[in-house]
Amino acid sequence: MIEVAGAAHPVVGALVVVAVLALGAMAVAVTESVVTAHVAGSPLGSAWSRPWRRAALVLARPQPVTERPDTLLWVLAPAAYVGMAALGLTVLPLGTVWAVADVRTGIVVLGSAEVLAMVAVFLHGWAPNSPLPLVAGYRFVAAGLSFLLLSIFVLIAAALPAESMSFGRIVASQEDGAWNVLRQPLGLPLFLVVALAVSLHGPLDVADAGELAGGTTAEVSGPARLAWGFARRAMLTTYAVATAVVFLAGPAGPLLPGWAWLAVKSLAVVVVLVWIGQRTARVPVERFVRVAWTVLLPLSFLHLAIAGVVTLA
Amino acid sequence: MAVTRPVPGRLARWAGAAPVPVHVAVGHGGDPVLAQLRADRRVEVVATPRHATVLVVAGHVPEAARTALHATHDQVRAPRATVVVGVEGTMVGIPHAVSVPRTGLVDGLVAVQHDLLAGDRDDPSIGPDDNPVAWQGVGPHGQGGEGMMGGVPWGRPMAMPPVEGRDGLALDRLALRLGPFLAGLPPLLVVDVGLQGDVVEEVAVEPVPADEPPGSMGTDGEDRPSVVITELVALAELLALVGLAGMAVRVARLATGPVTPGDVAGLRRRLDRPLGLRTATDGVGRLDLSGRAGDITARWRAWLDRAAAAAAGDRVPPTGTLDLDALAHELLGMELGAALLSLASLRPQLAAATALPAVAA
Repeated sequence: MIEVAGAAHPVVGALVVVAVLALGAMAVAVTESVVTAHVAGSPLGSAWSRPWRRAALVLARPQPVTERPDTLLWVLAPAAYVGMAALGLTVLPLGTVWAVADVRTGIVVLGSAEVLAMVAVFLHGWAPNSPLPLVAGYRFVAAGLSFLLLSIFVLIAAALPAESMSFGRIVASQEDGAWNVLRQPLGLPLFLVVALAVSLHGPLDVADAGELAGGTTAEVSGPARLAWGFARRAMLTTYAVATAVVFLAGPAGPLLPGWAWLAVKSLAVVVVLVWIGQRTARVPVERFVRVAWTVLLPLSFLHLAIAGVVTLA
Repeated sequence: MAVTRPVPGRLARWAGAAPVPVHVAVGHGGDPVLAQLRADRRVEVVATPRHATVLVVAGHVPEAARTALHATHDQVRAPRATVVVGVEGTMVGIPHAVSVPRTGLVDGLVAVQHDLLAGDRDDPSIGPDDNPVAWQGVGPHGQGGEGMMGGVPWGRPMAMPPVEGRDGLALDRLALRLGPFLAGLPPLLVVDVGLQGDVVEEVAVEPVPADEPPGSMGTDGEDRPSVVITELVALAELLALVGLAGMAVRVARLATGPVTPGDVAGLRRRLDRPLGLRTATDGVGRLDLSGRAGDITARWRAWLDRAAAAAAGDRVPPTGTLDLDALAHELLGMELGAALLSLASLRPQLAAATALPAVAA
């Protein structure tokens, strides 16, 4: 049985979190580039290096300027968003016997990070003092209320068989029994909805939408744009790792070390999420909210009820 | 001689190999240029001037849209450049623009980006960077007008509750002008909206008056774009708006070459799936205009039908134009994103409407 140890040294923990988010964001960027090139029918050869070139060009551009922006919040928004991705990552087991801080209330910490990420996205729309980013920020908050509830019910359902809210215990419970993807089949698709929505990706990217000229990013250029692009991909990384941990038993697996299994499973989740993003068009925000409340939320209740009955049986 | 500080060596080498991010200001007859840019991997068509290094003026921009074009020009952050296609910069009021022929367009853009990174080029602003209206210090509290909310900071009215709201909402209404060069909107269309939150509470749709016989200039003397190009460019722009960047490139590439009915059928198979483009368009933008009711899905399916017919060599009837007042009425109450997608889904008809000569007021 997997035993996940307690807190790591803060410096080691911080370094590991930064490294995982950086590597994850790079993996997401390359996956996006390769999948987009594949869908476009373009040669894949240069798709691997394209994200770095684009990042270099964005970095070489000047910082954004608008009339009377809220400069402090504009700088803080991407920092807060990355911070929430980092906070979520600290409670996830990154190796067979190791998490940065495997606290007993892990799923509460991840849920809190999700709520505060919503604030960061709203501020990114608010700060430039420009109409389309502002509308996009409001839109995201309206949609956010509906997907946050989903996330909570899915995570509670995963906590039931583990008899703990610690992600380490959730992994251990899957090692003892079946993986949650089999034991709780509704959970994975519901959690992927949350992952796409909270990280502003693919069909659920309501905040940075093309029809609003890039939404909250409409006024952003230069290093600030690079920071936001990194923040979104870091958030997707955290949710890919969380998906692998909650549904695919995270670091558990034969032969390879735990971190390697986790990396393989997380990367598979990233590929699935990015693939969905290039195949499925953005859901109109009204429909997203309606489907979330009338279909997905009742499904998550049902999911939780089934998980409870199965655990008691 | 350097006019700005060059980007340091290694960063410049990487950045120089990046696709050129361009914002395209589309005028009359600009669709073929737009398709060419979207199809080419050395270029990236972006959603806002803020993400661009180069502004490309494609097609003919009438006199009445010059001020807006110059504002768009100034929104590209310096160091920046402007490229006009097939005409001289003076014809759009941007004398420092680089004029490039259609055939050498992308090579020209790459060269311009290289100059920008080397610090050898930077376009000056056209408009003044100051308040369009004197408001600071005006009024009893220096707020720019009468009463608590009466100011017009930076020349714009403040968001105010509507006197008689459509939905009876006591939410401030934000007045906003979109276009004529907003990415993805039909070319040369100006949309004035009053927003409560993101709900369209008041709207007027108006084309920029044309000042030249349409199709006579701006595309290297070519004829007006063929049906295939018009419909496929509209589809590519719609795909880009709903986040399907890869498919947008694929469609644009199709639009730049000879198209067979088989190509269009293949495209239809890829797009017409419940979880494909239809996720964004089924049941959205349902309009009832001059007897042709339908949602956005119905409209892009019609584009594919027309493109297939044209590719097969059949005669395709002209698109016809729209009653813009009726259109504006239908947009009321929509979410802003849905309203903008609806306008994008009328691109061929609205392009035909904007190409009409101005009616003397």
